[in-house]
Amino acid sequence: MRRLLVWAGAALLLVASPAAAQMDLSGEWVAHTDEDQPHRVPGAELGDYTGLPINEAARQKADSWDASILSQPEQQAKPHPAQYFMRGPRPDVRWTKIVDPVSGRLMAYTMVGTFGRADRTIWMDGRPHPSEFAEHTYAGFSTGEWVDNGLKVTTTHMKTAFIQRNGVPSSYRAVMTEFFVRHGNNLLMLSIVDDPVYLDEPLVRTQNWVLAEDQHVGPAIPFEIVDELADRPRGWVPHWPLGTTHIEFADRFGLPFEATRGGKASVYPEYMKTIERLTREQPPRPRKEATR
Amino acid sequence: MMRRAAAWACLTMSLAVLTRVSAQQSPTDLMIQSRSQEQPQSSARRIALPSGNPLEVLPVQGSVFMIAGGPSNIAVQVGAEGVLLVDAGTAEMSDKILEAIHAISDRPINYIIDTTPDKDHYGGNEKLGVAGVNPTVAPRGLTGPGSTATENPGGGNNPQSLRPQGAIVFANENLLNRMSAPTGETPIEPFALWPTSTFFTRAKTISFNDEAIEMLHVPSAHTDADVMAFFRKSDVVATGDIINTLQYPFVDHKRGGSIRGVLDALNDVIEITVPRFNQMAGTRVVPGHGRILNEADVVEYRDMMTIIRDRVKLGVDEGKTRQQIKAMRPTLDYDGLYSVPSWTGEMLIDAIYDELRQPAAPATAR
Repeated sequence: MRRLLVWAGAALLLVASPAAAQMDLSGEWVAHTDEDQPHRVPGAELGDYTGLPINEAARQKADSWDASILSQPEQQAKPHPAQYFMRGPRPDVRWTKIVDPVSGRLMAYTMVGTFGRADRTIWMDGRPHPSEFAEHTYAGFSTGEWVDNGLKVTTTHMKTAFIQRNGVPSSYRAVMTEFFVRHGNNLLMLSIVDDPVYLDEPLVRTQNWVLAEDQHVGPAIPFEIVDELADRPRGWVPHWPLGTTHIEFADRFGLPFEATRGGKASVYPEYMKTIERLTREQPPRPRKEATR
Repeated sequence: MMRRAAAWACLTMSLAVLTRVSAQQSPTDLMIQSRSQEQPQSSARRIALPSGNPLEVLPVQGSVFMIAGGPSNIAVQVGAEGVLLVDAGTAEMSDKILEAIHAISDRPINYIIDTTPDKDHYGGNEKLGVAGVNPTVAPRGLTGPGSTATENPGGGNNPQSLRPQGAIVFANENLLNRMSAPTGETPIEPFALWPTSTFFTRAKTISFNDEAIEMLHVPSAHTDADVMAFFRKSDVVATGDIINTLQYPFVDHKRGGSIRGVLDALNDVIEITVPRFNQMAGTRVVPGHGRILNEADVVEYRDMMTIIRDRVKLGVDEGKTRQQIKAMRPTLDYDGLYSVPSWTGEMLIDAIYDELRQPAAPATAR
């Protein structure tokens, strides 16, 4: 049912635009980060899985995620993966056409400027996706096709990473479908992530960009990796032990703890009734003031 | 004059190999490569094989390719001098493997490195070895002024040498011990499958195809005979079954393996690998089974093993029984990726539990 709604939504997005087919997406685009700003700029709080159709395995992995792991030298410079990049802070991007110099054929779009610069390539030349034994990357392997006047992008070969910046995982088996539709100087993206390992239903998100003629995405700058902890033993992997419950988010926003745990039911509007019931059965603990 | 001719021959062969490889990259690929940190990934291209061959040949990096789709992965280093294999697959697949090798090089197989005492890795030693050439033996029938070696092969100082003709097969000594038997007893494997050159130190090195190659013995990991091969110039590590992206690492206690050794080995790989830019690209890793990796993937795999080990250890430290620990489901978040019928999450828990309940073994000198 949900999948049907998603595809119907995608169809509406495409129909709602002007009739000109294959509207070029090249240019500098600045992101609208006011949508879901707390999740996107500061980042989701520990234990906040609201509205994510995650399964029990994902919940356990997210519960064990300890932000201290970002002190590992090998984790400090990780870029945002393709299945998340649009939810991070300011993914202002430049789309560029790659045109075959001889035939003039559109071979690919590149999208540069994502956090950590896992810049993406969207192949438009009909090439197949790679072998299952090929390397997976943070950008993944994307192919595009014009559907009506929008661009449908299919991405495979993404690394095991995250769909939210508080440890909610995404596996390397995930497949992402995106629809990009240009309405004049606005660019709308609908992203659908299917992950048989960590999601019970597809994760659907939207994102907006505005054409920015005064923007110029700069060169890729490497992050510097530094020693943050002196007593770190070899192979140090910080994580919360099994059974840890992150109740701070529920306390802070006056929510029943169960309502913060996500799951496919929590995606639908009807879940508000469940939250009301849970609130009656388990009155939230007194709201705490933010401590930041 | 002779030296100049040899140099030209080497150059021509090198160019032939390079042309064959670079022909896979289109001008578009090169344009994108010039502006991206990780795109397009080399392994997204496949080398064409004759129809009916179920294997796949993927460029990894530099002079190294991976043959996949068989019982185990095979890393192949090619160059003007010849071909070096890391692992040999099974005997049943040898003809197909030879066909795959010929798709990227027409030079002879000179060396095979066995990474582990599992038959899906060394079963092809005999056929691939015989199809190859021992680079330390002068070619049969080589003649020249002053030469006496008209028929018999021989090394430089020993023209009547009885050295084997086929490729040299390297392995850690423990691997030979696990295949062979004391005099008078029946060996596990026939002589023809045995490695021809073993080492018992931590590392053995050779230079081949203008590249330094380190064979690193990893004590007590998947087994006690595991070897990784590090191609320094190509910047590729072939790990054998220390890494299997299709399942949890199999720890064979009966053959000297250990969880602690696997974690040590994974940390070794992370110390060797260097990303090119922000955890992307850089050193590539060819695992014993599964897909090509870089450091970020190895870190994910190491973190998984460490977290599961720590969860089981916490249960043991708290005095929980094996069943109580299993009831905590310490592998739940990774089973969807790594649990397979032949080596489930529960089996891994058993292995960790058993090892943690054993008296601590003396630390290995590293």
